Amino acid sequence: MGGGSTKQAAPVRSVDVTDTRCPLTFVHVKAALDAIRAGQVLEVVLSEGEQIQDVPRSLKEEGHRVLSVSRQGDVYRLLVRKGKG
Amino acid sequence: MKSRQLTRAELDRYSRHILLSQVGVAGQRKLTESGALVIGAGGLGSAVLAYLAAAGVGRLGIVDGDRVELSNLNRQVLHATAAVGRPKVESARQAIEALNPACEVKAIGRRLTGETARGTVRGWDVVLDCTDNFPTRFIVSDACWLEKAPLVTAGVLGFEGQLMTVLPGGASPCYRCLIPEPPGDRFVAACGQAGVLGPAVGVMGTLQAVEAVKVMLGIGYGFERRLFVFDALKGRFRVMDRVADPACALCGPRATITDVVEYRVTCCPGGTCGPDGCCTPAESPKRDAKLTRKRGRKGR
Repeated sequence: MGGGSTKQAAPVRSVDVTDTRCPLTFVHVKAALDAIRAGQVLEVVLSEGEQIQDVPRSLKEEGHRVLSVSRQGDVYRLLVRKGKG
Repeated sequence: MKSRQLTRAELDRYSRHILLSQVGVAGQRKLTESGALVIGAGGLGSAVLAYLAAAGVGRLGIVDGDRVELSNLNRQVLHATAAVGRPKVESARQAIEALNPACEVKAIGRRLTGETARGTVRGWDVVLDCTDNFPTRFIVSDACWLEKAPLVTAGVLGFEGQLMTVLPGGASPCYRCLIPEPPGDRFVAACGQAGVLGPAVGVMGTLQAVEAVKVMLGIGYGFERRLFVFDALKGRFRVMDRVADPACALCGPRATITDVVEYRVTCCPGGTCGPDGCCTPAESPKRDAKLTRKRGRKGR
């Protein structure tokens, strides 16, 4: 799939996990991914520290594609395209 | 096939399952939509019911016609001291509700018989044989095979436990491939005198719960073609291959069993039948063993 990252990725769903702690953080991300189809994009709002360090890595390990991570004030906005797995 | 979203509380409660890639959100949802029938709310059943309720299995059926006795409490950890005298299914229901109120309990406070067995096991995603006597084991095994219900069966005596899974439709050898008929009275009799190590029962019941979860999720590699044997005293686990018996009367090509066979326990001479179909001998166990051995294997 070429060009996926250059195309404007519009999230179909958003999940804010800033009020959760590991490992529940990733459970909520997984639940949000479960509610969308493969190829669709999810927005994840993450906090500084453990969350932004762990979640992108875990997403990649589970076969999803992290499209972008941007800082917005105190939080991070991550866009991830759901993998086929 | 999305039926419903797990709630925030469910995501929290089952988080350690959901984090497993082999389970995930979809697997956990599947568990909440599955039903397991547990036959026997004793020692094996206690571990099975506690773990399946905690795992979030949506429906739990419990079949047991007995009441809680003080002598049960060394191994039947679902039942509290205050439950002595109460029907086991009611005591178990109360314990499960305290553990996980989301779990729907169907309590069947009767002993399983050849007549009721097929209707009772029908429609469940998995059946767990947690009984303590051979006649009921054969009823459960026949009924599950004939109704195509996956079966996880275990038994414990003394320090030793055995476990196997039987999947219908030729996916595994059946119970009768390994044990064609109930053993003679020598083995059935005198269980009122036979000791059993409580935690060893818990090990086997817990392993049954593990296998049942795998069956419901369709993951992993189970004991459908193997027999698991645990010797708690020697600290030994053994796994043996099981093969289908071409002469098996239940699953073989020339099977003769088309309905559940009900065996009757013949009491040892002078003995009295207990509520579990077991026998309390009137004479010394040594002499009973000799006598019953002569009377042949069949307990029918």
